[in-house]
Amino acid sequence: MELQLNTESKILLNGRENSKPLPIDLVMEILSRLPVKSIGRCLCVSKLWASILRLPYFTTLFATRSSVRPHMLLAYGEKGQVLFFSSPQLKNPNENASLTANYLSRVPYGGSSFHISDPVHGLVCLTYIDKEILKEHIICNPSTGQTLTLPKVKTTMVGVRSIFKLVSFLGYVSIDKQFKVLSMEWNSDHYILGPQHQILTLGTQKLEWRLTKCCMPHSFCPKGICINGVLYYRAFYAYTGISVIVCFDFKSEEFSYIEVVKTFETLISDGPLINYNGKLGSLIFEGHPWGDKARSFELLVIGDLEKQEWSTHKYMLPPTWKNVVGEGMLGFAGFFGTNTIVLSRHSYVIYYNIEKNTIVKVGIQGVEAFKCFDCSIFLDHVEGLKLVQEF
Amino acid sequence: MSKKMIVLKSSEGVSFVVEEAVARQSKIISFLVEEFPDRELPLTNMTSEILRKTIEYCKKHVVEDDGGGDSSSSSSGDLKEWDVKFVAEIDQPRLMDLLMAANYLDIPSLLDVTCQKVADTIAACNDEKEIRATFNIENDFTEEEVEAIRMENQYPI
Repeated sequence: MELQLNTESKILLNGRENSKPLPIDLVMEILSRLPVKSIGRCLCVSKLWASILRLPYFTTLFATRSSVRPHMLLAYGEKGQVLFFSSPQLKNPNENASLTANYLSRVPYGGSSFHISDPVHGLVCLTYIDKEILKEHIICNPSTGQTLTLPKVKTTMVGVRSIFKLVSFLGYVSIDKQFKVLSMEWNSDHYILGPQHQILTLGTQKLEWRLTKCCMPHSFCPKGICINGVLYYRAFYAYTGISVIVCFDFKSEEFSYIEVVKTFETLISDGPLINYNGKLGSLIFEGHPWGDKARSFELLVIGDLEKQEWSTHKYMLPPTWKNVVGEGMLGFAGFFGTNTIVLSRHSYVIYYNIEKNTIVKVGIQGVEAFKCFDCSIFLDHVEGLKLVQEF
Repeated sequence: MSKKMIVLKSSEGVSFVVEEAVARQSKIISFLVEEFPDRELPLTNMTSEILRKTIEYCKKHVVEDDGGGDSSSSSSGDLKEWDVKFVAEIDQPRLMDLLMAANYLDIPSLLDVTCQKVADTIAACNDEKEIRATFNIENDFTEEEVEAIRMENQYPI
């Protein structure tokens, strides 16, 4: 794929007049390793670079490259805006490790009670309540600061003014390369979802919320996890109280349910759902998750969803656990690989390796000034060039 | 058993005697060794300096098969640190040559660290002018064209 240009000096990328020009595929290899922030600058360097950066293949290559170096995404709310930062996601940090937060972008929003969805394929969904107590959705690319405000969701509940009681999730269907937002309305009287839900596909000419149905009204836990285009969250059937994990397939737009086996029924309502190396799992602590009274916890992994192959393993917490969690409220940032729990507070993260039973606290430099209340830290954020304008 | 050695020859005709396991990290050399055993391999587009650097990298990264359990000489964390130092010590023009060599010889890990180093250098530049100056790239845009790209405002600049 060597591109021969008559004027060699135009594509010299080796700092020497008489050297051979770098083949286009190597220029692409280099540029695909840049942070998104530098791409804008590189577009202005030369016509050749601009044309390389605009190739659809480059966008794909860039996504592949960033997926092997996932980052932590940090979001801080301050005076009506959200500030995004990224930081490397260390694999096996040691005691002396430290992280630096790189500023990405700021997204203003005009309202209160903002919430940011887990990052999906480079994008996040920011929801907040506006002045008329309506819920707004903004799709953001934190790396570029681009945003897209979605149309307002109309209530399906006749005669009930509870439109702000919405819980929304962002999902990505990799086969169709499509982003979708699922928005579920719940009745504030008894925390029951459904049966009507609404879904919106990004990238369609006219952005519209469409109705979709689940067959079983259920109460819910607002924290879900998306693995390979399927959303999972914990819930109870509305009338029987049976504990389930609800699965929503963003491709087929259909709901299905995993009834939780009796053994775990009482337990699973507490711990977070996790992505255990691509499989659905859950962490079950005694009492309050991340509380200082816990001595041990269980890791549940569901092998085959259909067959409900649950495997469980019990881990003893290290003696230092109490000291670490004793300092205050910790957030659950996520789980990565097969052995690392990451907990967060406003300017540090705690890596807990469950196999080695080691705890490492790593400070994040550059964000100490923020207050801890409106802070979210996410794992596995992959920088994407996906332009919100394309939708 | 003594280790099998092979001979690589640079563009200046300088011969380098290298352990086969070391050289085989290059997919091209691996192929050539099988096709032409017991022959000197001429690498006519690589200077001695670059070939020496490439061999230095391969020596550090070789994984001995016969050593059993603890085969790799360094842990992955140490290797990473070594890589960072290795590319930091090379000046810009030679880094580009080494990148080309890694591509030519098909050594994916060396290509990765050299490309990343160049990308980091680009990312550290404050504007497009600095990038052009660093990499000796001619500006074939008019000011209006650059302004038009900025106006598109797709990416933060």
